[in-house]
Amino acid sequence: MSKAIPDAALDTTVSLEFSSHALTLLLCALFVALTLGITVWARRNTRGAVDFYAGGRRFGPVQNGLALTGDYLSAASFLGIAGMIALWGYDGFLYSVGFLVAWMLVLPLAQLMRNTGRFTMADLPGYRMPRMRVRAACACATVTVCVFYLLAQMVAAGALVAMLVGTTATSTRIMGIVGVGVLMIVYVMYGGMKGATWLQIIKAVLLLLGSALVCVLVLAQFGFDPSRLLTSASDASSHGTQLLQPGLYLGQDVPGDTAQTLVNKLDLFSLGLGLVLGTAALPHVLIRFYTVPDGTAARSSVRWAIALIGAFYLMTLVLGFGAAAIVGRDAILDQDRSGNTAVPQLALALGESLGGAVGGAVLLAFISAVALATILAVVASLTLASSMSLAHDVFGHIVMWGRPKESQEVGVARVCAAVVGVVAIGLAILARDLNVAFLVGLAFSVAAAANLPVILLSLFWRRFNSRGVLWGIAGGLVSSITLVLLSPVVSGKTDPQTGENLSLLPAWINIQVFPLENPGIVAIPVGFLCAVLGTLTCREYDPERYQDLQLRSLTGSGAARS
Amino acid sequence: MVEHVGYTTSEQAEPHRHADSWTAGQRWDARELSTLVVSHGLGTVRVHGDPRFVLLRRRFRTRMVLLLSGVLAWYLGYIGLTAFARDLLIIDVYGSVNIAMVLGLGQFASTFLLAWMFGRFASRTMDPIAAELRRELGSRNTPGTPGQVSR
Repeated sequence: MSKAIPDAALDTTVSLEFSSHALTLLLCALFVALTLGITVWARRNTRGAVDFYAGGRRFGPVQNGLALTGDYLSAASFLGIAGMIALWGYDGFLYSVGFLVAWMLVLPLAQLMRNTGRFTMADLPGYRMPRMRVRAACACATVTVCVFYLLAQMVAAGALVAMLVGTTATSTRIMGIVGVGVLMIVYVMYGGMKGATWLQIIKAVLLLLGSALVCVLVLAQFGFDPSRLLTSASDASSHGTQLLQPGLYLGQDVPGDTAQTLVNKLDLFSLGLGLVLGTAALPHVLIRFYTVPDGTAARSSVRWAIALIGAFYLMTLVLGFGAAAIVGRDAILDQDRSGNTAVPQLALALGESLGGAVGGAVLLAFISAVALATILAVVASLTLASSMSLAHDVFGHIVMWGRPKESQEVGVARVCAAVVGVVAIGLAILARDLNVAFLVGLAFSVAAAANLPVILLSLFWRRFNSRGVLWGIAGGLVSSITLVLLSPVVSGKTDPQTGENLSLLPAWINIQVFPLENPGIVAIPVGFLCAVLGTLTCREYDPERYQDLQLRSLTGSGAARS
Repeated sequence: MVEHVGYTTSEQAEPHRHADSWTAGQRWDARELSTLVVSHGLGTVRVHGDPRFVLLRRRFRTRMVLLLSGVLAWYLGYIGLTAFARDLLIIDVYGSVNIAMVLGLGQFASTFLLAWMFGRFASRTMDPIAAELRRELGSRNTPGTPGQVSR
């Protein structure tokens, strides 16, 4: 971590970093102790499926709004987006905008989904079409999205733990992955949704407070004048005022190559569509609507989430440009090529300017602990979402023909959490050296292309039927994954100047056919089209069940209660 | 094959929990409603012809379509501008704050505003109708009726 520091300064830096790392570990230990305490409490208060899957459905809108915020804001948001803004300026901000605007799609749907379903996404189409294959398809899509997302988070967790402890050694990263994975399994197996919700609430409060603290400190340095902050950021950057303009990183103009320019711009649209349409169908966000008493509370909790998430993404702007102005682009690039260390570096610099070496160590330790809490909470809720789908949809509705014993199903959910966790740990250890950040985009794309058509058409299309569900999910899933496999992310992308290989596979394999890095612009229409075609080629049609669903989704009559 | 979920005891309790204070429903003639309400196979009651339900559905749909088309058009328009109208977006408005930044912050502002407006609209014009219908449906749909299965 300290390879960029000149030898003369090494002694003090090492001791400083040591104290900061010790403090980070102490704060993390406090967080883990607190959350494990909550897990024990949650285990004692979890009696059946409603408690385990939906936290007893007794959380209030503010609590659930905070928990949604905690679920949604991963380390990719906290460290990744701020780092991108620090390095690439305005284009990093485009991610913030997309991630927030996406919630406008969630807002009208939250209430309908809460009124119709019980625990998982499959409950919604399953209500209209009580068929095993519908459950199987939805479970398949849910688990795929969760595992992709989980894998990206776990690999990042390994790198983050290593960074926080101050080495880049492989053994530390593996230990980080295993540690995070084991904690995540314990949280989910024992705490269920009650434990996970409190974990999210604590994490969201810590994350918002931590970001707000750093933001105020940054703004104080610039006399609370945002324009001065922006000017300093562009002055300190090698890109100059281009830092404040779109086009450095996304949708770049390639001089003299109109085709490539157009491809870059289409890629930007594709990314934007994936971000905006994917959020409404992320399984770990959907299961949160069931933790509140009724549809109205689900809607209010989304409004709270929009306010909190919006406030957070506004702060990423200050964090990112603050890091660009105070830490500087070169210092960030020296530590991490993708900019993930920008916020910790900013915290260190701010703390040092306030309270010398001790101040720097304290603030760095606090921010690092917040980052770890962020990762832990997100991986826990992803594991919960996939184990719920496996237990409720696959075990409860397929293996047991919809007549499981409640205690049996919850037991299976606990075992599934352990299995998913162990598989994720194994995959993350295998993929620890790969750049798997694209998996987050792939998860959003699968959610938008496979889950969203099923949710929207189940709610609003009278004719929709179970073949539509199957074809929609298959079409969205297969097209997203295939397009990513054939994209420049996986093979055939080289740096135009240095010739360095930027893809996942070694340079001699080139299966790149699809020019865009983000599959959304093709995969989402394919998902919808397949769902429509599947429906129209099958005569199955039950208008009465659709009327039931409409009545139930809009009035909340017969909705699952606490 | 139809699913019957076996363990719904705690979920079925208290169907009247949300029968709240809105009383304007008394305007509607209860006898008129009972002619429209038809019980069918699963014990769920149909009020599809009920003018209140038609109104509720229409209000929800128009608002949702307006909201989503507006948001998507504004967002995709914004992305389009950042991709194709960069000469326009780099004009400074105040200090170092350029039009691109103003539009990005405008997305935040519109999201906050629309979320607040949609929530207010829903709680004022849709929730009361939904609560009234739910109350009437609940009274015809007593807890524990075989077949009234929460899924």
